[in-house]
Amino acid sequence: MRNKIIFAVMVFFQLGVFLLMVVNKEIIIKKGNTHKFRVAPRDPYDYMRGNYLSINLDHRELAGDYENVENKNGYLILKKDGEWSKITEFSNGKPENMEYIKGKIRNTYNNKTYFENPFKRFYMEEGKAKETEKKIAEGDRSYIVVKIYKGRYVLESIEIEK
Amino acid sequence: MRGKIILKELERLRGLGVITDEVYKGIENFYADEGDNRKGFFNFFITTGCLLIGLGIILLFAYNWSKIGRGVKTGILISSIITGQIIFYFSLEKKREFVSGTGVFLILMVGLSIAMISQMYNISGEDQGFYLAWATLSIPVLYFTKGGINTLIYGFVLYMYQSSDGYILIYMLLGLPIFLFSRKKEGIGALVEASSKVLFLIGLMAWYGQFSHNSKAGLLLYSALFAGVYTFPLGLKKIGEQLTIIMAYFLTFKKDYIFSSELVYDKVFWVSALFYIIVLVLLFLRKEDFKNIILWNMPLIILPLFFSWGFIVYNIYFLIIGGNFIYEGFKRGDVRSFNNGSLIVGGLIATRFFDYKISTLTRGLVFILLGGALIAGNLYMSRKRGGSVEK
Repeated sequence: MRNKIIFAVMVFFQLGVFLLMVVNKEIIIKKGNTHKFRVAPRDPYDYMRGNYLSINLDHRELAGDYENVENKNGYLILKKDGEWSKITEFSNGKPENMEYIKGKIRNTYNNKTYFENPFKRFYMEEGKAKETEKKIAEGDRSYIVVKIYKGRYVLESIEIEK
Repeated sequence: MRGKIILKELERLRGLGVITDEVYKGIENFYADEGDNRKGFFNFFITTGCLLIGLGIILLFAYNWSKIGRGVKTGILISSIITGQIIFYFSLEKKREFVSGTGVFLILMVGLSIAMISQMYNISGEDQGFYLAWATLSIPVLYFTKGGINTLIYGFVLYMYQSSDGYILIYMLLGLPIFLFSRKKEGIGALVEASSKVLFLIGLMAWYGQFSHNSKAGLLLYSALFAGVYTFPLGLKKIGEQLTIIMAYFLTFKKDYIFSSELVYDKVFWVSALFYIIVLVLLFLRKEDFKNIILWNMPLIILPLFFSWGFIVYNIYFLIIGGNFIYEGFKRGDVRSFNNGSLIVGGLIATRFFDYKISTLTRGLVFILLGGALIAGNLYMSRKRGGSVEK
């Protein structure tokens, strides 16, 4: 009997976690605001999750002076400039009336503060990542579309411009 | 089945007084062992089959089919986990011999599901989150399978968590099931569990080693760990020996290890040294054979590492290890020990041949001599063993 109860807990635990993860992400996609970030991706491989584009944002530096923030977790504040979004500031507390995502400061160097890239991977069908990387290397510009809802985000797509 | 028929007939013969009780017991034990061996083989193939199928499914979905939408993918991931759970439950209730294999399959399906969610939503976090979720959700499987191959797969996932900058306290906490649920006392199961424990300890040392930037401190750290694996009463003595052999082998290559004063300020070096002193004290307290202390405690000869000629000492050390196996093999009439020794010595000679420029003629001759010695030694041993059986 005890084993049956433990087994039932395991079933709910495993399924519950996966369903919660899926529902959580679907809410962000349905309700989140859309942001576009300029990126420069390249193509590596993960043995469990297959091909992906490793994404580098075109900016990593924050505006303003910060002290003792290295490796600190907090909130990265976004600013929209026309069509494009950028991460511009860092805040320890939750910002009000501003779009933000949960993030981390990577390091400070020469009075400049660099944030940890929150959008690192975009998974693609085998072969397509290589193709995309090639197009970008040939001069095409790329950007990512991110849905953001209450500080949580889902990287929705990667787009290539001729 | 065949055994049962024979035993039934033998029982009749025993009843008639044709065979003695002793003969009957001997034959009965023979068929019991044969049955166990068959069961072991069967389990091995079932488990390997489940492992291959699970890995195959993971690879299939690692392709990341872009034509399949998120809804369908969610359906696939939920059904893969439910399938894993159902067959695991079925084996727990009805077919105990499948438990190991179906446990492996369920752990792999948990990994697949997390991988698919990462793919679907491009989860960008570090790999540590991925491995943490995988390990945590797999713990109940270890509880039901009571160790075995599942422990090793779990140990691997946990090791990956640590390697991806996981938190050391969480790593240690998640390591507990490896020790709590390991129940196998002998055979391959025990070896597999021992390997998962060692993997866990290596992960722990790798975490600690990152605080040092000095390769010599790392060498002391690992050699002290392997001596500890040999010494501590975890049932890992043989693994401690094997790890020491592997490490000694790598040290036989010529490298420029020159003493640097930085080492004096390296806390990893000093903590490793302290750890090793505890190991030594334990060894002396339990009155370990002096020869074993010398052979399986590499930190005792760590000093040559500070000199450019240190590799020569390690070549001799490695030869002594091999020679000891050969000597023990001859003494006890143990072919396996003799072959182990021959392999170590042969491996070292072969490596040195590729390491230095020696004429093909000399190489060829030494290989022939080595091969001849191996065959002659085995023939001698088998005759000796055959003789002792006859006596």
